[in-house]
Amino acid sequence: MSEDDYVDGYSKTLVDAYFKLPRETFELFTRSVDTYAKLFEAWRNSSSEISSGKPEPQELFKIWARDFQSIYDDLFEMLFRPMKLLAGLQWADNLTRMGDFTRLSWPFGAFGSIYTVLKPYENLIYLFPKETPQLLQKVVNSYVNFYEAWRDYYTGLYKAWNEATEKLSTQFAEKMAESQKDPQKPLDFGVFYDLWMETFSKTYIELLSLPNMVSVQTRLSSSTMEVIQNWRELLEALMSVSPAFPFPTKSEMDETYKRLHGLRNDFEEVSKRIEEQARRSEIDEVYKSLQALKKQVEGISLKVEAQPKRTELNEAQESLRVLKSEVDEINRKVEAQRARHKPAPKQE
Amino acid sequence: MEDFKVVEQFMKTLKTLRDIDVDVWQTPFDEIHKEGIFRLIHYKPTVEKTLPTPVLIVYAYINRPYILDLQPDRSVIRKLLDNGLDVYMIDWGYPKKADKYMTLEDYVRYIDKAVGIVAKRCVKDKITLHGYCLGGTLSLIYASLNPEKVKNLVLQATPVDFDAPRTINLWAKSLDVDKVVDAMGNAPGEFLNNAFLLADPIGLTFGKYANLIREAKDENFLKNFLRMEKWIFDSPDVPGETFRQYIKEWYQKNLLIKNQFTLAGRTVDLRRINMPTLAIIADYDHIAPPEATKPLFDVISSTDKIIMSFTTGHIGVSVGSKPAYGLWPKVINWVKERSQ
Repeated sequence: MSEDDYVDGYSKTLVDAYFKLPRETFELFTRSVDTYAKLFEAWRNSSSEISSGKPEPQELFKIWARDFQSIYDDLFEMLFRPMKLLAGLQWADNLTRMGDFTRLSWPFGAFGSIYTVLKPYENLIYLFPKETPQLLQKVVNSYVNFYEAWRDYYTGLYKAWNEATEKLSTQFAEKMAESQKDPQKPLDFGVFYDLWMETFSKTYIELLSLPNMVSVQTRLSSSTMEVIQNWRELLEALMSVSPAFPFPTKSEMDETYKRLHGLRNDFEEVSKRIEEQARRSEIDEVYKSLQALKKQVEGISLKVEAQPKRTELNEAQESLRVLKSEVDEINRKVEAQRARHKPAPKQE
Repeated sequence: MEDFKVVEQFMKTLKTLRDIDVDVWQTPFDEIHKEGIFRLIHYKPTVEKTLPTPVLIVYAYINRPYILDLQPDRSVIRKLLDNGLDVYMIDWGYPKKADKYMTLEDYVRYIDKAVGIVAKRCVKDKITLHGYCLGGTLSLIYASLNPEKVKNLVLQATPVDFDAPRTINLWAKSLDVDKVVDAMGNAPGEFLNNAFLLADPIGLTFGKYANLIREAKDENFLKNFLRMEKWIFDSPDVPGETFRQYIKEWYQKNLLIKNQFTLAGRTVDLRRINMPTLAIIADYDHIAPPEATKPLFDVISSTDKIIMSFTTGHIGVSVGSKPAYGLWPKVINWVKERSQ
């Protein structure tokens, strides 16, 4: 097989697997290969120190601290991504390769996205709702909180990485000294790998349940949510001054979801009452019309879930209002029937 | 040289993985009821005459229930069927944005509906309720509110006391759940999944996958690996209001074990649990550790109650090789003896 054929086959397998495997599995597996190869590289780079038979922990630490750096970036990337995605900052991935300072300061780049969003409106500034400055301030504040939490979280994880590397260097040097007593069992990459896994895995399991780390993690998740929430409030305020904007806001959608849920519950209540009626046959027709209404609600639900325009949402809300009054009417009929057949109180 | 071997092994494994068609939901079933995203399924019996008391399985709403039927050779469902049990299961589906106002009340109400349907089909007043993980917590609530409808209660890896000092509990306790729900609507499955991965970030995002490169695995191993991967990352979103309610009231206030949790205006008093109760616990369970289940047995009134523990993890109880031979025959016997 020529080198070109090999590369083609390699690329094809990767592409096919990308489309076939769960996307997380594909990413974690391919990243792990890279990480595994980097670990081997780190092991190889320390071979001269190791082959001396009495490696100095400090020397091992120097080599491994340098070589493990890129492993750290890869390992935590997938776990960090949702926060970046949630905050609309996935483009910051490109910055994470540019050194510690940039990596820690990338959330500041998010201010660029505020400007990008507001730029098309700059000539319409006189139309902005009066609460815009306050809402904008909230967005900025939440980014600052987010940045601070991110910095603390990242620092915590990174500090633990260095501590684990230090621990590994010491433990490996000890193991090396121990192995000198038994030349039949030389330390190979497998021993190094197992010790690496044990040390790093344990370090992070312990770290992430420490009270101060839990507190930083909580701050990070809360501030991420604040960024999303405050952005939404700002955008909704801007949209409110533009009646031509065709899509409903999240608040308007939420109101519809609430009505849908309420109506579904009403259906359940009334259905249950009908099913419990002693003379069910008398209200069979009512039951059938209730089921027909229920189907209509499910139809509306599908429309609402399909990103409706504001006009379509208004229509859906009106239909829900009408359906609600029809269900209430059915409920009254059921109650009336129940009252008619209620056993008369016993005479004294 | 080693670099080359790693790439070779990676490509070989990737090719095999690529060529595998992953199948889950191994056992045939009929969908017998559907309401919104919820559905009730009935597994086709594998014996001519099933035992009179049917089993209704209630799985957690944070994952998919096919973990109980993941691989043909280790399907819990198949074991139950082959032992003559008549098995039904609730599938909570995939909540959409429009479902964000669903609460725990909606879930428990559907259990009631499912119990009614199953009981009617089998002409029985009572059924065996088998809850798994948070589905066990829902089953417990249901059984406490409706003890007259539950003949036997099986709780598999079920958290009840949420003060157990485990990482996931610590995170849930400190989470500002209002902010999550207000910002996101539903709690995204990916968000919850990341939390589970963070419980052991090195082992779960690297070690597990590196093992595939370190030594060659046969196709059957890789097939089961992919089935598990599919299940792990097939995480539904949790309706926002459900998320708010269970994180606050179960994890943060720990109301359930204190008999202070209320649902639809009714207090869930665990002392009303008086039916035969079996708790299956896994010694290495980091989601529902033994200390999250055991205190329940000091509260319930059942006299016929037993804990069966096994040296495995939360998921290993269902798909591990050891439980398949050691645990499940005992569990099934316990249920069968009480299913006449």
